[in-house]
Amino acid sequence: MKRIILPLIAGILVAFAVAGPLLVPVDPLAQNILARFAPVGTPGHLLGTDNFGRDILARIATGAQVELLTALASTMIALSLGVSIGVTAAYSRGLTEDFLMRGIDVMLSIPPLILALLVVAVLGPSVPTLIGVLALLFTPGFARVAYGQTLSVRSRPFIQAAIIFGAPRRSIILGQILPNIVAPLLAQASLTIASAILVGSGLGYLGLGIRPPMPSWGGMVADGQRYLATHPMLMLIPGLFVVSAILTFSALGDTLRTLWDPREQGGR
Amino acid sequence: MKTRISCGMHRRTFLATAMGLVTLMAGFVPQVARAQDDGRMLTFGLSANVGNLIYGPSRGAAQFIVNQQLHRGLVKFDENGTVVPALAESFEAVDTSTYRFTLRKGLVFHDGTPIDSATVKASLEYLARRETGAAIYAALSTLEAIETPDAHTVLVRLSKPNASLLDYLADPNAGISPPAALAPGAVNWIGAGPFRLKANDSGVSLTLVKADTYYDKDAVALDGVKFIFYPDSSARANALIAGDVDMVDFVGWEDFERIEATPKLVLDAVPGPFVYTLFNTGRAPFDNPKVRQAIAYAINRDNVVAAAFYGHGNPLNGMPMSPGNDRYDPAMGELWSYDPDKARALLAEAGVAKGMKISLLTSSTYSFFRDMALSMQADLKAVGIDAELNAPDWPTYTSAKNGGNYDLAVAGGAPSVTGPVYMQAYAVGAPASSFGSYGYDASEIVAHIQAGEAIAGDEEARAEYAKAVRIIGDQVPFLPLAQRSQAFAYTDRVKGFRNIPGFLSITGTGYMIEKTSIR
Amino acid sequence: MGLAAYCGKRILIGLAMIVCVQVIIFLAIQVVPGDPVEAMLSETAGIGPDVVAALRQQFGLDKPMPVRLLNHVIGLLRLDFGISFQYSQPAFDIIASRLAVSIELVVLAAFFGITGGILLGSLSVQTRWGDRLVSILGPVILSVPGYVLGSVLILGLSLSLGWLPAGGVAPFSDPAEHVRRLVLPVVTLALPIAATIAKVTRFEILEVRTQDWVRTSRAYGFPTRVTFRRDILRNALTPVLTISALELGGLIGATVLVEKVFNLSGLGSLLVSSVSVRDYPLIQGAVFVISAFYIAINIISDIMYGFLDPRVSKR
Repeated sequence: MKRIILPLIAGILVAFAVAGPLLVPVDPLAQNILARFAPVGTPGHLLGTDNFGRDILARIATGAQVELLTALASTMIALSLGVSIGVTAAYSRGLTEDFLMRGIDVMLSIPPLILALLVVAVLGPSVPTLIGVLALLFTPGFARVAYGQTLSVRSRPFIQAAIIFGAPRRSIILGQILPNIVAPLLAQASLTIASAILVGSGLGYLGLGIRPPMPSWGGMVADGQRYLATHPMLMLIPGLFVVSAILTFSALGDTLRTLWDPREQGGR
Repeated sequence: MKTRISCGMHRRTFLATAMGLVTLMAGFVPQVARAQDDGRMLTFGLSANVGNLIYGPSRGAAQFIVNQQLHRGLVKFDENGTVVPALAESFEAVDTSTYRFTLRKGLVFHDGTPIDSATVKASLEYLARRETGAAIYAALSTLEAIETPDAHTVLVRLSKPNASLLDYLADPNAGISPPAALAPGAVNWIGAGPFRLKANDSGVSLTLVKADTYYDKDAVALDGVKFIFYPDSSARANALIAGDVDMVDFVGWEDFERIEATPKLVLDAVPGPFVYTLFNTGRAPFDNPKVRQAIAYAINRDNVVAAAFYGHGNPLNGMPMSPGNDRYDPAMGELWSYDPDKARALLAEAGVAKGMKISLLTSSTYSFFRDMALSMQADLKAVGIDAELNAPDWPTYTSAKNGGNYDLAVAGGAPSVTGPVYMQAYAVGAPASSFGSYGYDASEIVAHIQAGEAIAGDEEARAEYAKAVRIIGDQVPFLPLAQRSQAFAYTDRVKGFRNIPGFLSITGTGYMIEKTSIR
Repeated sequence: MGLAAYCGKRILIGLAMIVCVQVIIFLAIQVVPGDPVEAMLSETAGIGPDVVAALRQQFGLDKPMPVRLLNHVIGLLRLDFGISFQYSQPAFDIIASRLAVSIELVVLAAFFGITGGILLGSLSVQTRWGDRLVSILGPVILSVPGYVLGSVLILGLSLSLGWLPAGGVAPFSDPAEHVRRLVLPVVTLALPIAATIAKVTRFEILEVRTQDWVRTSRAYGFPTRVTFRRDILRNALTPVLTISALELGGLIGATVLVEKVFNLSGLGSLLVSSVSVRDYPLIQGAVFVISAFYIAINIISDIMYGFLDPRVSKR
């Protein structure tokens, strides 16, 4: 029970952030320079205001939607791309395998940061760019998991039997292999969502996230850091939400993995 | 049990390797000295890594300060921003396009090489070459001839009158340099300045010591200056507060209060460079001067100062002016004001529909650029203009600005001359001048400014500049919005230093270090 | 295929990959908008297109792209990345000085992270509080991004309490100060490593504990402590160290957020600032070093695997 208390609190915080605008409908972009740096608990501004006098709660909420949307979308894309590559490589073997998996190795050895910097510089900061960058970064991970799993499933007798009996490749992949590797992939997906929030907010922190004035959590932390000595809440509040979101999804991923892999369960 | 054995070895090997690497690092990691116990050494937290010095091109404010310690030109700025003799013991304007300089006797570079009129001629001619990309190229592009009647006399002839030539020659990038530095990419550490380079810990610090070769060495109080690079502004402020450095340049606006609140620290802030708005005059809607005027009335300058500079700056309703220069007229500073109703009326008059969408170019590289655009965006919305922000990194921003890929753009200006002639570079449109609005034809304004430059008397010249400014007020080729506070900060042990107010805070203040002492 | 041939093949593939990465990055920075010369001259008055063209020629940017690519690859053979546009000094020298900072940071963080992680992981299966610490606090630490953790540490330990400096580097000639300045960044980097390693160690120990030889050892009556150290921990450590090696390889250049928070001039921040002024030689050089590190560590761990498990090299 104790194990889930913190993730539970985190989950509630995330839900609160997403539902925030429904509770307090405030424009996250409305500036009021006179009312800037309002402290937490100011009437009308539950979490205070930033250096433009913008409502922090409203910005957290809008930021939550952006962070979660980009994380989910990029994970989905990376999942489909990575699984296609990994399964194809493991199933075909030979030259195709070498080509695909070495390609994945090359992708992994490009520093993620430079990949993000260059893609954002070409396409400009925006939500679709961010989704694309994150998808690109996480595809190799899925490809490797799918590759490894497919290799091990492929050697099992029932698949070997299907291959010997001349079952079509398509039906073996879709009917036999995919259902057998879906569980570890789902666990990986949930962990990837957590990583996507981590990396995505990191990019926002470096100013590579989305187009201002739209808020992003990482960008809010970076802005808040400039006022760390005088108004630490500007950094602490978005920081808390980033942590909560990551914790929620990684706890979810760990739980999924435990369900799939009983070995881990034994230890608990 | 084979696995077990190899595993144990592995762990030990790993630990040994890790420890070995750490020890190895001891020899490599750059050294940073602390400020205390250094006698009359000034430890200076500098806002950027200057890399290798190259003769001619401008590489930003931090490099200016280093240049001013190592190098010296014919003239320099004093604490009031007046041009005073340096390597030249005297100078005179024969007329507005001919200047005569008389060099001091016995001048040498740090390495002992003598400096005579031929050295000066070679230096200036190098700066006048297009491919050098020199900071003062604009002034020397009209160079006709340099004559050296004797070893101590230099006669500079221009093809066009230029009342500001002396300002340009006092620029930090116009120090006289030895022949070896006069080639593209050649390093330029040996100069004729008050300090010489002792150690260059690349990327971390520069150690300079007093040069015995300097013509005015007896007036230099410091034994040396150690520049330590602190690119991050809050880290720079932290270093000063912690006593790691004696002085820092370019204090971040959000750190002003923190430094002022610290005992024994001095914040030396002056109104410095300005920020302004550019218009793409090559296409609708900003090809229409009425719409540009509307913007001039739509922007709340107080909000710009509050948002971008944390309240540390001066709103501008007209041209920024350099204090102490007699060629300005106070009326030049009163052209527009914040008046949203008037802005709406002007927009209606120009036939601009409500909810017009435009793109507002700024850069994400500098937070004050982005914050200024955000503040403007809110003001524009209030008068019915929907501005979408485009905030790429600096090179992309520069390309977009030079290529006219914007409607409105945020820009920053730090003129290196004090006189009104600086306005020319901002009025002339891109691509001819990278500081100006895209596609703007400023020939009328330029004609008046050049007429002013040809006149020796301040009074008569002022009338010509005023005509240029009147056209600017009407046409709005560029829109100055605020002058930002530019601050140095230092411990109260530092004496004799002064941040020169106005544009020269960037290009002139570095000359103060030779007059600085430390207790 | 013998072990030597296997190693040779891996190294050849590794070199090919480094060249691949260089070519990809070279082509990518050509596509990126923004011109290094225009950016550099952006603050100089009276600069027209003619001056820009002259400087482009000086930097060799006027040559056709294939020629520049070829020159770059030839330069790589001599570890010559070219002259940095912004600093006018060899890119190699700048990278070398930054690499020292990065390596010290990464090695210390990895050392403390890995030893701390193994210790905590072992404690977690032996003691109740260790178990709680690893299973409750571990996930939380893994959820805190470095830039948030760093900021919180600065806020708490530097700005509020004033115990430790907020950033910067100090020389080795002042060892106490040097260490003081490294504490916060190293802690920021090491905590998530420790959490990961603790998790893996714990998992592996639980796995090994159920093996036959452990039961045999217990049945012989060896004390629990001896069994744990000799039979369980040592066997569990193989995968732990492999994962550790990979963490180390990925860390070089990935410390940019921590460098930014603590004003450390390492390789990551050099890469970011080079991209932000389009300093092509520095970008290429930094990417070369980072990808070479990553690939080298991968090869080493692969060969290590081949050494420990001969089946791998036979494949």
